[in-house]
Amino acid sequence: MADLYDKIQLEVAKYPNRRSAILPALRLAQEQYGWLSPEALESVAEALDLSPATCLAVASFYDMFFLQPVGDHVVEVCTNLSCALVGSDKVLSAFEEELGVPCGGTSADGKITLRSVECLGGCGWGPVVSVDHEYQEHFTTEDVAPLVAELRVAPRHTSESHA
Amino acid sequence: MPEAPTFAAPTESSILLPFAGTRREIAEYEATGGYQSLRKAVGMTSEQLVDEMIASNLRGRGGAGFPAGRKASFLAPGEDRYLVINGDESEPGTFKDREIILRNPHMLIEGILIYLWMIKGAGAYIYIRGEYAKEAAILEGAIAQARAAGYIGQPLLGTDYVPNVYVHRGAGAYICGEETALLSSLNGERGQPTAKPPFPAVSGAFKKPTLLNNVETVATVPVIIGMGGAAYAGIGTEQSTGTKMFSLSGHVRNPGNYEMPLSATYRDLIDGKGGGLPEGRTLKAFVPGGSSMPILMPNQLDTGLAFEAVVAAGSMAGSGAVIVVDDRTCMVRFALRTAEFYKHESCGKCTPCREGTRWITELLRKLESGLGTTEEIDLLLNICDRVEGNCLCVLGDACAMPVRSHIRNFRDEIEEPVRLGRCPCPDDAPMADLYPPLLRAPLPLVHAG
Amino acid sequence: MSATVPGTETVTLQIDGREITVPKGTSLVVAAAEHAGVEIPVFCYEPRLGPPIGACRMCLVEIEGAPKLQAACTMSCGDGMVVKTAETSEQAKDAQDGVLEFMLLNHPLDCPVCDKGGECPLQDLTFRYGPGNSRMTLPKRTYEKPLPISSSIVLDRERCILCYRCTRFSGDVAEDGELVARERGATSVIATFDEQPYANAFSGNVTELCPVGALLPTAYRFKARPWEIVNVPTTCTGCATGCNTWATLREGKVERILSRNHPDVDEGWLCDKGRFARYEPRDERIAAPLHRGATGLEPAPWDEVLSTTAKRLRHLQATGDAGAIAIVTGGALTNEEAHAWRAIADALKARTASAPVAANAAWERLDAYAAPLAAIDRADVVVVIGDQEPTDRAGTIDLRIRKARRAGAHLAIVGPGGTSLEPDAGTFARTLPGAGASVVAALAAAAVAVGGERVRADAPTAGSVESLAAQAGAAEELLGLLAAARAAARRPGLFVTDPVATADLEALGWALGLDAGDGGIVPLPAGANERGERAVGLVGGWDEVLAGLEQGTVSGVILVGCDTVVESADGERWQMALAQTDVVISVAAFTNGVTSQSQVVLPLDVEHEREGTVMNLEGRVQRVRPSLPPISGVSMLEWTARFAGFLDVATPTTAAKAFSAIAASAPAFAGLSWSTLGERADLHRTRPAAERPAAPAPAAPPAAPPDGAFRLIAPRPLFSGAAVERTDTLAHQRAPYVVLAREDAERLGIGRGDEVRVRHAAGEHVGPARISRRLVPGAVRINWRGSAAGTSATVGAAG
Ligand SMILES: Cc1cc2nc3c(=O)[nH]c(=O)nc-3n(C[C@H](O)[C@H](O)[C@H](O)COP(=O)(O)O)c2cc1C
Ligand code: SF4
Ligand code: FES
Repeated sequence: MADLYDKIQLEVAKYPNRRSAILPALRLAQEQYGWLSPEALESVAEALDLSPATCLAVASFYDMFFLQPVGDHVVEVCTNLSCALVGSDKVLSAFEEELGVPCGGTSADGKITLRSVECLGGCGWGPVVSVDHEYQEHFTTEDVAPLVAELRVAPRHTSESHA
Repeated sequence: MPEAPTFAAPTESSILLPFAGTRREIAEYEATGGYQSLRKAVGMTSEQLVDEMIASNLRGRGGAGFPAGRKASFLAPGEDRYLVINGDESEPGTFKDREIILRNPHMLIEGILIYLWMIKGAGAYIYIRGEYAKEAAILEGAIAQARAAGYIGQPLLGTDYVPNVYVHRGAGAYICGEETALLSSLNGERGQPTAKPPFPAVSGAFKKPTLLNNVETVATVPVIIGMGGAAYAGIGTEQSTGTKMFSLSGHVRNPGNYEMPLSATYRDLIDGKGGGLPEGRTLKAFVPGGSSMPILMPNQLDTGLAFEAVVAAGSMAGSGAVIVVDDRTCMVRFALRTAEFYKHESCGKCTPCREGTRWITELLRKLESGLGTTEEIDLLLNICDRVEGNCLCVLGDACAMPVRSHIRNFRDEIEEPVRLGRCPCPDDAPMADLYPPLLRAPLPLVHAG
Repeated sequence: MSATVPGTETVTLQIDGREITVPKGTSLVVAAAEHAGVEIPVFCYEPRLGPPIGACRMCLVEIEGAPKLQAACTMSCGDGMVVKTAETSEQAKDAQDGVLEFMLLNHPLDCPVCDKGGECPLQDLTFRYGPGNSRMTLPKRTYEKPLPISSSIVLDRERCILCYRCTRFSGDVAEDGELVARERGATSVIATFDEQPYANAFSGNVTELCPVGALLPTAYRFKARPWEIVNVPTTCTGCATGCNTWATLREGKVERILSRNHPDVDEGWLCDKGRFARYEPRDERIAAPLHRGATGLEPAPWDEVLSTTAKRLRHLQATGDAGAIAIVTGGALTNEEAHAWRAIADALKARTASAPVAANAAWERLDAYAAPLAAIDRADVVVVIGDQEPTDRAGTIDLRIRKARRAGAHLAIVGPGGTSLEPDAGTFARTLPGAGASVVAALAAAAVAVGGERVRADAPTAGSVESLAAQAGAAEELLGLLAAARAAARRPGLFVTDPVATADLEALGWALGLDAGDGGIVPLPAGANERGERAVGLVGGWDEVLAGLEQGTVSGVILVGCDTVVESADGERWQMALAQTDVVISVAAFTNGVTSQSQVVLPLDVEHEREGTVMNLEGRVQRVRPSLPPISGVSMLEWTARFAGFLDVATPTTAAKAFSAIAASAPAFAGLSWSTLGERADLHRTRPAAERPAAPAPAAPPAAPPDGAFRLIAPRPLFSGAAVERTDTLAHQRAPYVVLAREDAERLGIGRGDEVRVRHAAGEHVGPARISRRLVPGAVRINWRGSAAGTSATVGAAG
């Protein structure tokens, strides 16, 4: 898509070489397409004059890029040591129950994808749950149902700006 | 709704964050003396600045503890040289750089500008982990403010040098905290470490000479230039000068970040600042510097926070992430969860790390499920030995060292499941059930003819 | 930072107690093997792929003073170093056993059924160092296998040890980035994008680079065991590069072609045409003399056919005037075969033609300005002029151009765009298609205008830079052209891929002063042995013969190993002309565009069936050796001798004899002898003094296409020709495509991958669209099987 192409060129301008813009470019493509479909990767490849396979190789290296469709919202529960010590696995199972899907799955209505992730850097205030890349700290099992209810009706937001 | 993080109050020795709350506005920052060190620095030569850093004896805050001044002096000459700030902060238990960015972003920007001036850098790139979306936005805001105030993108304070600062967001890969992997990632490659030589000081960002430091290290620069390297060296111990941020988490009353003089001890941190363990629990062990470090035992609480002190105690200060583990915690699961993380984060480039972390994890999983054998526990130790020191970077060691320490310090408990045929700990124990690291997309078939 | 480039200084070090002195910078691995006689095992280390990556960790050694073991492959020898390998260091030995065990954790250990078995480094090391059985009691990783990653290569992910040799070749050598590692850590796998085939022209090299049985050529799978085979050293005759190869022979069949690294020619790389293309099935070949009878072409005894043919030609010669007979070749012959045809031409007073266009093939005129391939490595700048990718003319040269660019050479591309070299070019000056001649003239004028170290200010030019640039349709690219010229005046490697008069190239060489210093023009003949044929006297061009046929001054033609109907841009004219020619005789491997019009068709021996020599584009004379008998049982040298006999001349019947005759008569072969050519031929090259050339003729601007039509760019692709078209494993390489400029695609509503139909004079071409942001608008680029350059075309969505 043309506007994606132009957005990517703005990122390219920040670096001495075009290839360094691949992470921002992939992020922009994911915001636009929802996930990095082959089509999305080809658009990035075209904009950066790289092979689609190169874009795939880079994208698949990082946990934050989705190579298969995800829900409108992504809920990520930190299950690393500090959060696990204060009960994040209980929070995760509460989400599984509430959503009716195992960790890694997407709710039947296609609204919410549940993932477990490694340390998010909120260890002092765990359990930490990242909702569409916004941290919610001291998250307890009681908070699960209200959040899910809220997300089921919230539209997919495409930008990550939290300024 | 869960409340926002409660920032730790300043400690009596705070010089990095000597205030409560945040100072995100450039006006607040300048009103409290902000950007004065930059003005002072611009009156100094590169050599003077490097000497000042060497005098401060500041040791890198990213984990390796390498003297910052010496590192700066190694930077190769060249037309285009770059400054890269390591804000990947992914070592489990670590959240100190995030606090600096959330509360005092301009301090980091000022440090960056001083360092840029010192190396007359062609540009600075802050590599911040992708999950820190809000923090990245705050940095972008701070950069915009600094630009508007005339510090960035135009001749610096009457000189003819024009500094430029960019935020480069990662996308979820712990290994990208390792400096060469970070640079691969910044260069648009898969975030895998590269063999040294060439060192970043010779060929790093965009294959040009690169000075790379941790967020906290660079954020400390204005303090050092402000008070003078010698004065800074007066704080802490002889070999570990100044104050450092410690991230306290786990089974402790008051978790959070605490700025401690490096002359203090883990007892000062855990019992003093952290208020000790919750009612009715006792200390089983504590991680002294991020999950990749060998754990220390309760009888080592009086170990100093200084780099050399932790080494003497048989571990490493690492990133300053202290994880407190109470008596109810199952060390088999603790070891498994630790190993799982490094297996998930192994970049896959070198053989011992890629296969070793997987093997260690699978053996621990088998053990936890009660199907393990004592031979396999010895095998685990042997695998740790064959991984440690033989990998391309030290991620392999980061898996081997803690697991070995868990087995060595808790051999009986580790053998429990072998005897019982199941994991012994009760369902209400921490980490009652463990989850595999996030499930990745299934492999697509390749072109079928 | 490559640790493998030895300097002149030397250092002295100790390896396993042996003291050695080596050039500073020598790789520790190489030093150990070559100087201390210690083999340090390696998997990922392969200097041709760039700096070492230290990934597999097989080469760990103990170095005194180092806190931990070091990967020898990433170390270069230092003075006073004390190194202990696994031979003498317990620690290193244990680490190595560990690494090997880690590798075998997931390896299926299926050596008995693996095609690599017997020539597999992993198997060897497992025998030598390996712990008998793995302590891994857990299930191994399993993957769907084998996975074809193209029609010519299969991947077995279970055998893969993730040494990243293949992906480094794809990313850092061929620079296509199509074969990659995806995922991370223990789940990393080698893959292509979205199940698409690995289509790079050099893909086959990964099957030689892979140190295990993970990447294997489809054609070779389950075919041979190493101990049943014979390897014959020969030279590839797929194009004029002349890459050195091994032909793997088994049970009378060439099963496999491997590289036989000649550093100055191929650096150990082959293109997929040279590696996979075969003149098979053999039973479809023309295997006996045929003459046209009542029922079409019928087999007949050699002597009958040869004698009657000789008679008819003698008759023609007697009736017509000199040159009434033409012998047309196209670079498919050995020098020795060409020598025989030269003798026959003399006997018949026949004219000859060995190149499509006579004026473009006077290669010897460039000798004063020509650069050997190895000079590209030292080039400051590489200039590529014309519509075509150098690869299409000369396979592996592309890899050398990229290597030079990576080493810092400025790459300047002057052409219509839409080729694979542009993305990383330092200069891209866009021109109209078919403007090569104008560009060459413009560059000469530009050089004179901007001056430079060796530039001749008084060199003759064909006009002003502005006018010539305008003619090339590059008026606004003037700066680019000047930049290219300024650069080219340094130490260039200059490739011209368009049909351009050698006289004009000579003028450019003179203007740039390329006769002095390193670097120069790299000639790109169309035929594999075009230079050799010409050097033994088969001069002249197809264009002259065609004109003669059309004017009736040529009434008999012998087409030896060339299909002028398909291979020349004037295909249809040839078709018509041959239809009205009294005597048409062809020598061919398969029935083709000219055999159908011939009264007599004789069998052509092809690669692996011939003994002799060929001359590559540099002028390097190399041996070709047979692994198979001649297709008819009688070699061309033998039957041409008999044929010559009927014309009362004698020609040598063995290659050795023929070669000495050539060496004695042809200047280009002076000083060479059959016995000393050897297996790795040197370049006997003396630069003649340059002479001031005449002012170049003003180049004709490319003709404008009729309204609504596109300018067609369809130079002959690398993957074309009788062998390629018959090789199934090259299907994906032949797969048609159509490149359109973004503007045109948007105008026509054509998107990436849409089927597009291109109609042009030589035929119709349908393929998926590739959209280019560089291709000059109004032009369309296709990989047409034949040569159709310069003509116009209509473009539209297919179906
Ligand atoms: C596996 C691994 C992960 C690392 N992660 C980080 C990190 O998240 N942040 C960081 O600053 N340094 C990290 N480091 C250390 C860096 O490699 C490097 O030493 C440091 O950033 C240099 O900055 P400093 O000298 O200011 O400490 C890591 C090292 C390794 C081996
Ligand atoms: S396929 Fe072969 S060359 Fe490629 S990574 Fe695996 S083992 Fe190495
Ligand atoms: S050969 Fe040295 S690490 Fe692979």
